Amino acid sequence: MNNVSVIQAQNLKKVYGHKQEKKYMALQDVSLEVAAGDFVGVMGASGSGKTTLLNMLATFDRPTSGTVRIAGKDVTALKGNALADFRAQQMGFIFQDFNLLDNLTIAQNISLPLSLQGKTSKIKRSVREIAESLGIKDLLDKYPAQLSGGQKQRVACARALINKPQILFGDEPSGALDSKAARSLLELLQKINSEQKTAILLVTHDAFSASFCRRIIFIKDGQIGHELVRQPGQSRVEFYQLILEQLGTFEQ
Amino acid sequence: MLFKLAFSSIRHRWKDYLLLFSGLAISSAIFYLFETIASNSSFLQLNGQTVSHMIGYVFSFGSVLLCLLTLIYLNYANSFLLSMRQRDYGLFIMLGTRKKRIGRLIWLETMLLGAAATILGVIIGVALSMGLSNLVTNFLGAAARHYQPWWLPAFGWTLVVYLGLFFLAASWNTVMMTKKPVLQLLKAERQSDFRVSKPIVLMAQLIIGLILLVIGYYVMMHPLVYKQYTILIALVTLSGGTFLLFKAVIVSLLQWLIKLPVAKKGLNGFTLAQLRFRVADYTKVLTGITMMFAMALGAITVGSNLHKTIENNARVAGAYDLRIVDPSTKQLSLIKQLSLQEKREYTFSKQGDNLIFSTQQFANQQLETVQRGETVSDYTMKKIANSDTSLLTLALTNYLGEAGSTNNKIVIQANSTKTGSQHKVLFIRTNGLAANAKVLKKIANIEKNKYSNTTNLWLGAWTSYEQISILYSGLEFMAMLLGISFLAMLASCLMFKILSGSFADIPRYQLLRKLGTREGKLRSAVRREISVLFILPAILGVVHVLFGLKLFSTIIANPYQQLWIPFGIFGLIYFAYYCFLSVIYQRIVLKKEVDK
Repeated sequence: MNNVSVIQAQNLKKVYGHKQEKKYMALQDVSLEVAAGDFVGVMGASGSGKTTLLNMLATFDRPTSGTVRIAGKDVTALKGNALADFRAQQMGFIFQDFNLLDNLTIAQNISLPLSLQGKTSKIKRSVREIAESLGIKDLLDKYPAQLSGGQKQRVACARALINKPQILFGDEPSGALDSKAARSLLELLQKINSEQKTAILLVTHDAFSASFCRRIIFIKDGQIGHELVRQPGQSRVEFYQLILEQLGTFEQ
Repeated sequence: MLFKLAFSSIRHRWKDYLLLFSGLAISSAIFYLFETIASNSSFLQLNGQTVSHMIGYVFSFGSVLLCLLTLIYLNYANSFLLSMRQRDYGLFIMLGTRKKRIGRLIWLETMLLGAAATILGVIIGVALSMGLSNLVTNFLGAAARHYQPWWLPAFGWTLVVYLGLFFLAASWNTVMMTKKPVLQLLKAERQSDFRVSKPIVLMAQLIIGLILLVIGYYVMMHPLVYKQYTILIALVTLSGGTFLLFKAVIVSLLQWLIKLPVAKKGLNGFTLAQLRFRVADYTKVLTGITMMFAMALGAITVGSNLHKTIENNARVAGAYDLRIVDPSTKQLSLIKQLSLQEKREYTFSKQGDNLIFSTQQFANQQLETVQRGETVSDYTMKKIANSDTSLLTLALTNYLGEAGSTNNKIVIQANSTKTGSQHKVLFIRTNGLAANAKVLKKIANIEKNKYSNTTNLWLGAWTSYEQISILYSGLEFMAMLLGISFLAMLASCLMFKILSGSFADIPRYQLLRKLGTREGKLRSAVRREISVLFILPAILGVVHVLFGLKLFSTIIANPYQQLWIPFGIFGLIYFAYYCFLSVIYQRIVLKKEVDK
C-alpha cells in the first residue's frame, strides 16, 4: 500500500436549513483521509451524518465549509461539465437500491459510463472482461427486471468499475440483499480491492458488512468518534467481534 | 385534518396541478367550441348541405371522433392525476385512514377538479368562439350566419359529457386507490414489460398495415365512387394502418438501430432504449396523434384553400365581373380606378322587353364566355364568334335577361335599328375580384340602384363572388375551427402522455447525472427523445393529408395550390409546442438538487 491519498477531506461542515429557519448541523468539522487502495467503512446510526458525509465526498452535495480533494483535485470547486466528467472518470458508485436503468440491457447498463466518455471502441472488450471477472457473463443480454437482487448489485459493481475509477463509493450496498447474496457481494468487493487496488468507501450501519473493511470510521452526531483498523493477521470474525464491542460502547 | 393534508399537497405541487387544470379547461373549451357548431343544426344546414354533402359527413364524423378523443384524453389526464397522487393516498392509508374516507376524498378531489375545469373551459370556449367568429368575419367581410358564440345546447352537452366522464374517472380512481395494496401505492414504480415480437408477427403487421393505408388512400382519391362512405372507410383503414405501421416498423427499426455502433455513443443507447419502450407503449397514442395531426392540418389547409377558391368559383360563373348599362359619370370615373383586363362596349335598342343588338359589333369586339373544364379550376376564356347567334344570345341573356321586375329578351339581328330607346352596355373584367373588391362593390351598388327589384339581378362574376363569399365564410369558419380543435386536442394529448411518463423518468436522469453525465448531454437526450414522439406522427400525418386533400377537389379549385402556407404555419405552431413541452419535460426530469 502506498501513501498517496485518494480522498482528503478537511474540516467539512454541513449546515441544513435556510437563512430564516432553524439550522441543523449535520456535519461538524470532519476531516478524514483515504489512502489509495484502502477499504474504508463509515459506520454510524441513522441521523449520525454518515450519508451526508458520503454525499460530500461523492460530490453529490457541497459542504458549507471545508474542502474535499479526490485524487489531488479539489472537487468542491468543480462545477458543471468538469464535475460531470470528473465523476465519470474518477469515481464509481453502488447504491442500496441498485439504480440500474430498467430499459437497458445489462451490457448496456454496464457500458453506460464508457459511452458517456465517448470510449465506444473499448466497450465490447471492457464489458466482457469485467463481466467475466464479476461472474455475470451470462446475464449480459438480460434486462434488470429479470435478475435477482444479488445479480443486480454485481451488475452495478461492474458499471461502477468499468471506467477503472480511483475510488468506489458504496451506500449500504448490501442493504437490500439477503445474507448469502450480501456475503458474496462483500467478498467480491474485497477481491476488487485487493486485486485491482481500487479504493473503496462503504457507508453502512451493519457490523457484518463493516467487518470486510480494513479500517472503520465511527461517526456520531456529525463528528468522527472513533476509528478501528484491522490488524494484519486478525481474522474477519475477530474483527467483527471487535466492531460489535465498539458499537456497544460507542452508541451508549 | 385529512382535507387539510390533501390541500397542502396540492399547494405543494401547484405547478403540476396548474398544468393538469389548464389542460382540462382547454379541452372542455375546445369541446364547447366544437359543439357550438355541431349542435347548431340551422347553421350546419345553411353552411354544410348547400355546398356539399361531404361537409355534413366530415362534421358528424369529426364530432364522433372528438368524443372518442376526449375520452382517451381524459383517461391520460386522469392517469397523470393518479400518478401524482397515489403516493400521498398510500401515505394516508398507511397512517391508518379508513378506506371509506380516503375513497370519499379521492372522489371529491377528482370531481372538484373536473367541475372547476369544465366551467372555466366553457367560459374560455365562449370567449374563443366570439373571437374566432369575429376573426372570420373580418377576414371574409361576411359573417358566418346563424352562428352563436353562446349556445345553450353546446353548454349542456359539454356539461353532460365532461361531468359524466369525470364522474366515471372519480369512481374509477376511488376503486383503484382503495383496492390497491398500500405498498404498491407507496412504491408506485412502474414495471416496464417489453416483449420482443417475433419477426413473422412484425412482418404480418407491416404488410397488413401497408395494405390498410393503401386502401385508405385509394378511397380518398376516389371520393365520387364511394360517396358518403369515403370518410368512414378512410378513418377506419388509416387508423388501423397507422397503428400497425407504428407497431411493426418503428419497433423493428429501433431494434436495428440499437445494434449499430452509433447506439454506443454517449446517451444514444439510453435514448434509443427509452424510445423502444415508449414506442411499444405509445403505439396507440401515436396513432391518435397522427390522426389528429392529419385532421388538424387537413382542416386548416382546406380552410385556407377555401378562401382562394371563392375567386375561382366566382370567375367560372361569368367571364365579366360586371355589366353596366348606360354607365353614369360616377361609374365611369370609378372604372378608371380598376385594373382592367378586358372591356367591351356595345349598343342596343330597347323595344318593350326586347333588347336588340346588331351582329356587326360582335365581330369587332368579340364577347367572351367561360369554357368549363373537367375540374373547377380548369377553365378557359373562349371568344364567341359573331356568327354563333345562339351562344351570343345565351351569354347576353345571363347578364341582361333579368333586369328588375321585367324579363328581357335578347334579339340579335344583322342590322342595327334606330327604333326604340338607344342604350349602351359595358362589360368589364378586372385582373382579380378580391383585389378590386372595394371599387367593384361601389360600381355594383350604383348599378343596383338603377333597378327597383334586385333579387334576381345578376351583374356578372362579382355578384357570384359576393354570394359565394357568404356561403364559404361558414365553411371556412368550420374548417378553421375543426383544425384548431384537433390541434389543441393533439397538443394536450401529447402533453399528458409525455408528462405522465415523466415521473418514471426522474430517477433515470438523476442516476445518469450521478454517473457523471454532462448537463448538456442530458438536455439534448431529453430533446431528442421528445422530438421523436413529435416527428413520427408528423411524417405519417403529412402523408395522410396529402392524400386526403384529394377528397376536397370537388369543392376546392386546386387543393394542392400553395400548400406551403398552411403547412408552414402549422409546422411553426407544432415546433413551438415541441419547444414548450421539451422545456417543461426538462424542468420536471432534470430537477437540480445539487451543484447549482
